[in-house]
Amino acid sequence: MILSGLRIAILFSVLIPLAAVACESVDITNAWIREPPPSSNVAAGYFDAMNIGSEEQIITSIKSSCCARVSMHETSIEGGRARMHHLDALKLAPTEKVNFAPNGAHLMLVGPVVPIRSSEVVEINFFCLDGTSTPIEFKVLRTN
Amino acid sequence: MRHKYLVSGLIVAAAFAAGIVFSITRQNVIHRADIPGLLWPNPRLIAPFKLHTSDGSEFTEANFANHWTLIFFGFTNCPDICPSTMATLKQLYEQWGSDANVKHNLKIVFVSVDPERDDDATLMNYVSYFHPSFVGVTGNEDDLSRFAGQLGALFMKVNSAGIPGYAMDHSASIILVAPSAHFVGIFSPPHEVDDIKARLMRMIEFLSETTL
Repeated sequence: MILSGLRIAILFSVLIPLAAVACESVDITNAWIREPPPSSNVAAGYFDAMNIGSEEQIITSIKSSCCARVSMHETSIEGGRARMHHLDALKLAPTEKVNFAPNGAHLMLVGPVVPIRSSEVVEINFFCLDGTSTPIEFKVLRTN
Repeated sequence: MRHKYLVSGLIVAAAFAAGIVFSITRQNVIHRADIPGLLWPNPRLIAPFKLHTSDGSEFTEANFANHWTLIFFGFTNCPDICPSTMATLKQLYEQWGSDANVKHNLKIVFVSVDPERDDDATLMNYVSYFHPSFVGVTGNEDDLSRFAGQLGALFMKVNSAGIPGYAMDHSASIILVAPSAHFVGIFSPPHEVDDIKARLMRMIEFLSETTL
């Protein structure tokens, strides 16, 4: 009986922290930033995000000390015209995978305060709905 | 009488043969003109306009002479599709220059539709980052609108939540202008280097043998 209670206590001590760190259920891979031209005040970041947990996860904001502002956007082509839309949040159902890729969804990094040059690494924090966050390293790549 | 029939027969045969040749030639021309993005048979002659390059020189319809020109409209604060397309154009330009089968000169022009923020120095730094031969062009809003309108490339300043200041909606296509200053082709996104190069070569080959 005592052993059983101990098992339950251990089980809860494992489960409660897991439930509290929702952002750890979001697996972010292939994170990179396109090196912006020197005169450009903005850059775009890309990544793949997959929910490896069993509950829906919602990324509500993105922050980094690299830039004055970081936010999620999506480029769409409507009637031959390119438009940018702001994304308030990124919802991921269990096992769902989303690609932030050129000419589509991307992170918009405005007003860099550190050099965003090729081979540098920039840390960007993803915040989930429950307030937890996960830091991701983005590698800066020159694509041309 | 017999001579008369012979002449008539020859005329009919010649007309028939000419008809066949005409038909084959016409079908061949139509077939060869069947290139996605080629504006044929009614390419539009670009009316006089006046913009300027990032080094302060005038940029007018005369600047299209002696080479083929690819034009992309954008702005330097565009984080995604503009640098992505410019990188594609850089790859295309370098492949074009190193391909022994290519005999025609090509120029790449980036037209900034955001003259308020893209001053000449900013524009020059931007285009030269992609390739020192690329040309940056801009102008006042009215002149830009008239020029872009001729190429069906609308643009618009927009305020959007989460975007500091403003953004620009702009054409995502790449425009082809002939040395005669005719607007002859349009490449719609998504932009792939191999696809653009293959179609560009076919367009230029066809148009070079045609009187615009």
